[in-house]
Amino acid sequence: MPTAEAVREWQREANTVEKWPQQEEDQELKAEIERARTILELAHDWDGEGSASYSRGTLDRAVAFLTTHSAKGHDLCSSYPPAPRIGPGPDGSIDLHWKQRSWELLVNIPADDTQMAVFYGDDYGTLKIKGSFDPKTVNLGIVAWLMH
Amino acid sequence: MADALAFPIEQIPDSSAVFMRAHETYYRDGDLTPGVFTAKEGGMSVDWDKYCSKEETKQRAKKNPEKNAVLSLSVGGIRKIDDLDVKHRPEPDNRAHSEVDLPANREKLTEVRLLLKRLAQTVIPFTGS
Repeated sequence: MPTAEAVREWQREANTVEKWPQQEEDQELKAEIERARTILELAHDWDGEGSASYSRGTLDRAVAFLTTHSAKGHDLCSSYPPAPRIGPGPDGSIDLHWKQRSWELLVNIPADDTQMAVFYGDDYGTLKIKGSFDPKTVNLGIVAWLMH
Repeated sequence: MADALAFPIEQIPDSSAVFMRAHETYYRDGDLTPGVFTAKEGGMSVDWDKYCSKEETKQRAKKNPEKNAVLSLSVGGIRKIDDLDVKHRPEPDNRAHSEVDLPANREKLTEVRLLLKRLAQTVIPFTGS
């Protein structure tokens, strides 16, 4: 039977545990996502070349892909992958572009949510990664590339 | 009648370069992003440097030329990327007009866009870059 003192001690420990930091957010990615919302302000023909506008749905799918893959990278390697630049792609699609010193990767999230996302990356040499995938699923090949 | 006024179609040599505009939205912290490489009405419009200056390409922007940079890409470099080609397709008001036929396959297009970005050189930065 624990004494009252012992219970208070346990409560203090429990409170201490609750104050431990939760898994910190990927702040770099969060800032990039915030910045990317300006894409939604681009009206049709924003560049005078007939470029399409960008839908919230497309951006939301791009963000979901990024947060999922960032979290998976953290799960596997205890660190977050670098954040990409989120930018306008062709025909209302959204580009996710990573440019690192030793590799580069471009993922394209289509405006049409029935289409697959596509990607291409390389190490500026012979090592390449490319293909297509359902952006609603986690692609471990891309996670591995982002963390390498 | 229109044919009589049309410019002849020529073969563009590998040693040439072509110019294209890049809207300021396609730059991040001074770096070009690959979204700029996109086909409009069939091909990606460019101007052959034999008949056009970089400044003329900039001024052909239908909206706000000052918000556009101008890129230069070597024709030989473009042709080294997979099956890409640069074809002279002059228009009545633009003898320099040419097109790069980009792949319709999105997977292939993504690769090509990244490689074109590496090839491109900004020869006129937009104001503010």
